[in-house]
Amino acid sequence: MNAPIVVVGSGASGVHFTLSLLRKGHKVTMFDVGRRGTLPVEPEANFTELKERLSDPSAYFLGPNYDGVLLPNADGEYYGIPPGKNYIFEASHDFRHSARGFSPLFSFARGGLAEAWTGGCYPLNDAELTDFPFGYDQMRAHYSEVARRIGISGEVDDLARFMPVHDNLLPPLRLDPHSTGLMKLYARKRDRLNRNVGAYIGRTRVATLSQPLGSRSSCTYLGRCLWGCPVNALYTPSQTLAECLSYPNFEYIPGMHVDYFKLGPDHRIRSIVARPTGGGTEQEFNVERLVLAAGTLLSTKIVLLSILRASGERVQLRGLMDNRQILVPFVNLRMLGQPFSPDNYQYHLLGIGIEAGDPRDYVHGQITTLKTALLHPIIQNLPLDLRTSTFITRSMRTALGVINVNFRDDRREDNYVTLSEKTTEGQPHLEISYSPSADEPARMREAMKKVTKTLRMLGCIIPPGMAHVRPMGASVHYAGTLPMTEKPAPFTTTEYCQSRDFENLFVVDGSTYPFLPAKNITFTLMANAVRVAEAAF
Amino acid sequence: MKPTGDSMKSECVVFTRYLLGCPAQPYVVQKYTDAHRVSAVFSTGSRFDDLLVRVASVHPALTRLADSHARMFVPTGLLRKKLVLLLAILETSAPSCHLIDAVDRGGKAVLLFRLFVKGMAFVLNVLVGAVLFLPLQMILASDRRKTG
Repeated sequence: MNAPIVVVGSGASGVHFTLSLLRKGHKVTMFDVGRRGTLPVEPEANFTELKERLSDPSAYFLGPNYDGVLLPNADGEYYGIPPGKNYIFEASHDFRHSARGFSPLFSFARGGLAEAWTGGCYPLNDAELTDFPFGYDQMRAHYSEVARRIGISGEVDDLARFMPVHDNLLPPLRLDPHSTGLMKLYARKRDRLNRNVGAYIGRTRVATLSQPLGSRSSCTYLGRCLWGCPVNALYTPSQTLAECLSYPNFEYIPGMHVDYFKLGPDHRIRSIVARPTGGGTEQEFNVERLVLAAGTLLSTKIVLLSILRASGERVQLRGLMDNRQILVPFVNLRMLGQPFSPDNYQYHLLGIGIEAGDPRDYVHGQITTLKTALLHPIIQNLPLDLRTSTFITRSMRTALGVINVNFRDDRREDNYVTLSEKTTEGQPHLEISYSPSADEPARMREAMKKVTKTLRMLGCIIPPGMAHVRPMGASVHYAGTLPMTEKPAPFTTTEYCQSRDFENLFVVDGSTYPFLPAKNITFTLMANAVRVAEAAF
Repeated sequence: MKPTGDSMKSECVVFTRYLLGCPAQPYVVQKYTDAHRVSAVFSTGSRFDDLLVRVASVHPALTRLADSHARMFVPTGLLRKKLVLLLAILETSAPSCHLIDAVDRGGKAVLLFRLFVKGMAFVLNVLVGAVLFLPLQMILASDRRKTG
């Protein structure tokens, strides 16, 4: 009880795991690279007012080096990472990787990848938890606890058939006019859509406050979510880290990159080896119990490098998963020519669930109606000259929307993460290999038919050729390299995410998922981390 | 050929007139020039790219012709990059952002009619642009192959 528990990483799972331990009276030391962004500017200005009030607005929106300009051939993306959030994905100078069939993103930021999330909180149901060594009943209390901590707005509606209802839901956020129109039409055509297409529409559950919570204000509808919520209404893990820092039994050590752990003669982890990110020599820290929460790929690298250093063995950790995503832009013909208002919540407010014969094949989509956004990526993608495209986009702006359709993934032996022979400054490169499942094209075709049919019934069209299949890795929902299993096997974890290879190692991020449903995983990451902290410590 | 400060300014003025039909504010010109200074992406292109940019900088009507051609035949070329950069600067700064945010008055029928007219104008510009620029594009491309 006296030796601190060492946690690596301050992402969604790391901070909630830590907070639970701190509340139980444990001492916790967290190692983190911990890159930080800048504070939000002009917290009362909406998206348009920001352009008027800032002395150099283009630098804010596009960056000092204009990296925020999405030039032609930007892989069909409709928005880029805003300059103010570049720190989240900033590479480490000596961290290298190579990937086949996968475009991974890494984060060394304080709060991790979820600092850039869009807040979707979707609990997994029993069908989706089939491969996990527990069911929804064992998760419910933890989902409710996380909802209490972070604040989740939502409603119990048609999507509840796919998403169990836990406690502590806040009332839903205010809908924008376009989303309101879609919901009204859905209400009229609901029976036909449910029966003939298997499509259900409802409110997304989002970690954005519709009511004040603690010191955080409720959403002020400034349309600035993408650039960083100026009032902290949109939850990010760095908020929980700030709460952890108020505990005297917590020590936070930023600026350290944990490379590997060392083993004692009893095959238990004895220490971790870390490097200061600003340069300097390796340092060793003794460890009683080690908890990896650095995100699937970075935690996997720590395990791989530790094995390599200890035994010289270059193992492959198999079963890497990620959600395939398709971006489906649409035009709602009823909204053509409507005036634009920046005073709206920017991210998704509606979701679409598409039922499948096997509930594990459920397809989930987040419907984002276009409110505030930089338009040049959309304008330049239209097949016309820019003047005409600007006119069209301006006239259609309030009629535009995009559905981000997510597909499930499962663990397959041919998808793996390992260390390559190549090194940079003594650090082996991470090597990732991924190929999609054979049935993926058929599942995508089937889902797209249903999405198209649903949109048509709601009076919307999909502009030809504009749907975009995102490359694997783009969803940043990585999982599966050290799965929880009931049967013991090498490179697996117990139901409490305890390693079967190293007794005093726990892994509480996505690495331990044995299956990846079509839903954003962050909420379950947090709830699972709380579950492990409550039950195993 | 590396653009000079003066040529970039006049380029910015003509391109702004083409995109939004308004004069370029000093802030927009400054940012446009600055982007060329910090990123080589906006100055590097083939001989045909340079030619297209030079033609487009003469007058907004020629910008439209060159842009229509570029959209169809060199969509990732230098001219499109410069125009997209300028559009990004215009939409992120006031007062030009208000022109991009404004919705034209008139009902859906008027809108659809205007869309039809603009679509036809685009087709016409592509055809004229193809007659003017495609032969030059092919000649310069074959020159490059020979010298390369």
